[in-house]
Amino acid sequence: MARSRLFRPVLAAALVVVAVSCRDSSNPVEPDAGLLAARGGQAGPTADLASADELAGRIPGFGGLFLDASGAPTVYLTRGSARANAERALEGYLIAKGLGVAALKVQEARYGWQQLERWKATATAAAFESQGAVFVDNDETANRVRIGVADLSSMGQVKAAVARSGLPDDAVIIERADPIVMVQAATNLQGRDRPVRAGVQINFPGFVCSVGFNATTSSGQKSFVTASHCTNTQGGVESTPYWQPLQSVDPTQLATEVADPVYQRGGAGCPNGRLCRYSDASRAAYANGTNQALGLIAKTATPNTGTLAISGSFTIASDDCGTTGGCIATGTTVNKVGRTTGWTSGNITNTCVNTGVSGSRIVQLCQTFVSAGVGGGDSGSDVFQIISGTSVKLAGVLWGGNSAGTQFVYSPFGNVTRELGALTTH
Amino acid sequence: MSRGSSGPSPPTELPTQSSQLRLTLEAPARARLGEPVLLVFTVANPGNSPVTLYLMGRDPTADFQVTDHQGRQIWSHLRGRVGMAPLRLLPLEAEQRLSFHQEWNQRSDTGKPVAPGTYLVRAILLTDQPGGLASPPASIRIE
Repeated sequence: MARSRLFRPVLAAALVVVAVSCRDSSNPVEPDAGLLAARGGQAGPTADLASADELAGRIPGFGGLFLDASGAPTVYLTRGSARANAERALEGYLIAKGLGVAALKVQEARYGWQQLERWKATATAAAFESQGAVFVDNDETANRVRIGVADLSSMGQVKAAVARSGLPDDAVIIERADPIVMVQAATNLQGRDRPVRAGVQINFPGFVCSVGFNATTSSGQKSFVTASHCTNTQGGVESTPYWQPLQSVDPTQLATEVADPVYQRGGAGCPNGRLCRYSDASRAAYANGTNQALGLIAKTATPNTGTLAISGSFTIASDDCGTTGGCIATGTTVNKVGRTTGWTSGNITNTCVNTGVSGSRIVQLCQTFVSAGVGGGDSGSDVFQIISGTSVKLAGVLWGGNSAGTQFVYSPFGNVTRELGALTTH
Repeated sequence: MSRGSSGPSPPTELPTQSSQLRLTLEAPARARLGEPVLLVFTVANPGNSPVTLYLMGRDPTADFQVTDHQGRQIWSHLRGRVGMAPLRLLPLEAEQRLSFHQEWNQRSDTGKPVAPGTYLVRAILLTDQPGGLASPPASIRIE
């Protein structure tokens, strides 16, 4: 399906004037603009393609056109149809691609394009009688009508409905397909965002935080990272449920906490009587089917203005080193995007700071201080360094700040992976 | 850090930060030089319906700030401290209140004893808004 979907925009956008030559040869022939002009006063072959419907009108026996797995243009023709008609219709496109007409592959079609189009319309009416129908397609890669259904129980309903409509069994492929999820990009960092990007609001019982970054584990589990204290209990896994942006806005649970190491006494560097970790970070596994955008961070128009309106995305191109304390030097400008104060930017003022957390016995070891805005609810935010344009290096996870909201503290990426394990972030 | 009295974690819900909250700061009008000064900050909901507060931190947190007669900040309870930055959605039922108790030892942020004179104290409830929710100032004469 991917091939046909990629190809379709080209088909749809095409408008071509076909050469009027009557050659019936498979040998590649260069277009002769002068001859074409003399014969019909028309322009010569162009790099554009006609729509499939137009091609069906120009190529007797046409059953579909697509690029195969190797990228070769491939046309379906019914038995007995002349290849030369297809070559003429596609000559300009093939030449523009640096190919001769000999490069055109031909597969035998069982059905003509227009017949499949009519059956597609019939099948659409029949299949969507079932709530489980996902799509109906005239699949030019298969020369069949392809129907996607969300689950096996729907498959029987759709098969029966299609059979009642009179389509031959052989003309239809019915298969399981993932539901098509509506993309609802948030207009605001505190709104509903699908696919879910870093920087937007998440909610767990009684609290609001921000998504740090999306990540996939070595076992392939799709997740997001946020602060450890953005769980029901800081340190230790209690299967904290998450919603986005709020449970009261969208009651479908987004994710569940799966990793949050407990705070330890007495480890290397941990002061007596204190509980320590190297990161205030946890990981939550997305619910099956959740639409999330690995490597994307929601972006507002400008930093340090307080705006929460999303204008695009940053793209994570790399991660900071895996070393505890990170490898981004003091004085470097870093950024964060969070649900309360949006995109803020400032310089690193201190690195590898053992940091006591106000109102607790917790000491976060080897943290990074940044002179930039922060507010309640920004916990868990992504911290990153802009490399070029919207391409960024992921630096870590924000977890705290001063009461004036002028300085934030983050756990470097190396500290996070030290405690949560290896993560793929882009 | 001062802690407010609060109930169990609430169900999640949309925030409704009410402007009808009553913020009061109790402080002695006079205090002897060097004597600890007890400050009590109360956030009350005098209305008939619950209000959901948006509070910075795992626990409700308040700062106390002292300025001199020229408006210079002398002391801040949370100065130099790093706190966690989640946002707590805390319902405050009708007629319920949060109270924060804090002693000021009449020293500045640098640890020096303050001189006799008049000082203004404010208490600030940390929220998702810059500046939080601030009490009216209270005046203390150190003698």
